[in-house]
Amino acid sequence: MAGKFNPRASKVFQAMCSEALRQLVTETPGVEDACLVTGDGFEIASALNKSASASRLAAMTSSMHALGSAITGELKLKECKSVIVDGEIGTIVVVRVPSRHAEMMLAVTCGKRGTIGGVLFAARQHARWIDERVTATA
Amino acid sequence: MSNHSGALQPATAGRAGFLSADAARVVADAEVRSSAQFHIATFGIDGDGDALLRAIIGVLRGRTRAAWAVSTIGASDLVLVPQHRLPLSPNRLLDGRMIVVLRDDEAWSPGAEQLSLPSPISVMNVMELLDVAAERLTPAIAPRPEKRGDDVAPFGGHTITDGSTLASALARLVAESHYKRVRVRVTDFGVLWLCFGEGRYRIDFAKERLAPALRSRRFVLTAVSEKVTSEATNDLSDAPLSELLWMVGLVPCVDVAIADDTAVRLQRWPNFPRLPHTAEHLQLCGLLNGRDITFARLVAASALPRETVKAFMTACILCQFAVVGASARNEDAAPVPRISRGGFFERLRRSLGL
Amino acid sequence: MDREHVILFAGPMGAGKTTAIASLSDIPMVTTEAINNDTDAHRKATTTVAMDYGQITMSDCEVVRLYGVPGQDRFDFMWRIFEARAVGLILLLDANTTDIAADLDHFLDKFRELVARGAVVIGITQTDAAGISGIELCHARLRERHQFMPVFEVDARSRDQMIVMLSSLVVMVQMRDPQLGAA
Repeated sequence: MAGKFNPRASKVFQAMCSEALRQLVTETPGVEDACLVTGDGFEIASALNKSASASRLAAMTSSMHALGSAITGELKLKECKSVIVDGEIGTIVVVRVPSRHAEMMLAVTCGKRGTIGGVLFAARQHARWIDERVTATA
Repeated sequence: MSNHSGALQPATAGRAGFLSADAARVVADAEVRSSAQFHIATFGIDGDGDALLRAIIGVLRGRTRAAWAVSTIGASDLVLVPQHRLPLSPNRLLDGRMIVVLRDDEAWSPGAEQLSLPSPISVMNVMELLDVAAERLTPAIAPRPEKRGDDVAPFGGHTITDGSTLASALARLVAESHYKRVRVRVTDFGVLWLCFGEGRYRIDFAKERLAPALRSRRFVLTAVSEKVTSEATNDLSDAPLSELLWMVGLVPCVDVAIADDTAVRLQRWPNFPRLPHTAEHLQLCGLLNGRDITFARLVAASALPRETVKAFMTACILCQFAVVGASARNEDAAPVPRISRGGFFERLRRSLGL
Repeated sequence: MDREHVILFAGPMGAGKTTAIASLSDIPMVTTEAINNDTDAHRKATTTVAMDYGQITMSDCEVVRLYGVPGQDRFDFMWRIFEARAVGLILLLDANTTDIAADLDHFLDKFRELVARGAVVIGITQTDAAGISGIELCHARLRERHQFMPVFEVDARSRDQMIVMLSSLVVMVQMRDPQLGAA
C-alpha cells in the first residue's frame, strides 16, 4: 500500500489540484462537481457547485471506493479502478488515482447533460495528471 | 474389635454393625453435636471402633480446649483413618477435611505436618490430638508480630473462631470494615494477602488453586501492617479484590441469608470476562438488569435452583455489584421476563461449543 | 438463511473493533482499511473507512452478522445505515484515551436508538496498558446519565472474552424481546 506522501501536508500540491479540478468542472460537459480525497476520507481539494459538504463527500467517497475494493478483492478482479453510482438525475463516478506515493480517489458528479463514458474518461485523465504531480512533488 | 483397655484396633469396616451401633445414638448425640465447636468422624474403622471413639470423646467433654463431638464425615472437620487405608484414593467426602492417621506400625513415620494417633489409642493421646487439631482448625485473628515492636496494627481484640471454611471466614471479614490488611496462611496452599483499603489482593500460589483453597478449613488469618505487606509481596502481582470476593461468594458453604421477600437490585454487571462464571449468571444479570425484584421472583423467573441464584447473589453482594433490602427500592411493578429455553442465547452458546 | 441477527461494533478509532470482529468471526473478515493520515487523532497505521464484516454461522439456517463501523464522526452515515438493521450494539472504548467518559457520552448519544432498545454492551480495551480504571469512570458516568448497561474490561484479541460480551448482549436482546430468536 502506498503512503509515503501526505497530500494534505503540501499546500502547493493542494493548490495545484484545486486549479485542476476547477478546470475539470468548467471544461468538461456535464461535470458539475469534483472532489479529490484521501483514502481515509479527508478532502484534499474540491470544486463544488452543489451545496454538499466537502468533508462528508470526502468520507463517503473513500467509503464507496473501499467497498468497491472489497468486492473486487473478494471476486479476485484485482484492484478497484472506479465505482459508478447511478442516481435518478445524476451520476457519481469515483476513480482511484493510480499513485504509488499516496492513496487518493477522485469523485466527479455529472448531470443529465454529460455521458458516463465522457466523464469517466475525463476523471481518469485528471487522476493520471494528479499522479504525475504527486510523483514530481513527493 | 475393640478391647476393654481402650485400644482401638484397626479392622475392616463392618458396615452393618457400624450402622446399628450408631443408630441408637443419633438422637442422643444431636444435642451434643449442636453445641460442639468441632467434629470428628472415622473412615474405614468398624462400628466398635467408632463406638469407642465416641466414648472417649464423651469422657473428654469439658476437658479439651475446644468442644468436640463425633459426626458423620460430611459434617466433620477431622477424620480418623487407619494407616492401612493409605494412600487415600480421591474421595469428595474427605476433600477439605483434616486427616488423622491411626498408626499401627511403630516404624511408620508420618510427615511433619501429618496428625497421627498411635494404636492402641488412649484417652490422653486423643485429648492431646484434639487440642492440636483445634489449634490448627481455629482461624484466630491476632497480632503476630514478626519482630518485637510496632510492625503489626493492633486489633480491637476481635477474634473470628467459627470460620468453617476460608470462604466463610473471608465473607465475615468483609463485614468488618476496619480491617485494612489481612494475611492468610492456607495450609497446603500458600499465603493470601488482602488489602481492603486498596481493594486488591495477592497470592503466592497459582490462581487455579484459589477455588479449592477457599474451601479449606486449615488456615490462619492475621492482621498485618502496610510495611509487612509490602515487604512480603514485593514480587507478587495483585488483582482486584472483587475477583477474590466473587469466588468467595460462589463457594456453596458461605452462608448469607436472603429472605424470599428481600428486594435485590443489581448495581452493575460483574466484570464477567475477568471472573469465573456460567451462562446462568449472564441470564440472571439479564433478568435483574437494574430493576428491583424480590429474591423469590428472581428464582421463579430464572427457573434455576434456589441455591444457584443464592450463590450468585451472595457473590454480587460481597463484591458490591448488588444491594439488598432497604438499599433497593420497592419492587418494580413491571412484569419480569422469564428465561426461555432453547432461544437465541442457548443456540448461540451451543454453536460456539459452550 | 432463515434467520440472521445483525450485531454492530462501534467506538472511537483504535478501540479494537476490527480486532474484536476478527476474534469472533468464523469466516475471513471483509475489511475496508485505508492508510491513516490523521496521526494526531491516533497513531495507528490504518483505519476502517467503510465497514468490517464477519459472521458466526450458528447453523445452516441461522447466522450472526458482525458489522464494524468506522469510529470517526465523518463516517457517521455508515452508523445510520447499520443502526437500523442491528439488534444490538457492542461499544468498544479505549482505556488509554484522554477522556473515556466523553467518548462514552458521544457514542451513547450517537446511537441513542439502540440505547433506547436496551441492547448495548460496553467493552473497555487496552486496560492492562492503561493501568487506570476506565471501568470505574464508565460506571460513574452511566450513573450520572441514569443509564444501566454492562461494562466489561476486555481484550479484543481474546475470542473467549469477546464471546462473553456477545453472550451478554444476546441475553439483553432476548430479555427485551423474548420472541426474537425464539426456538
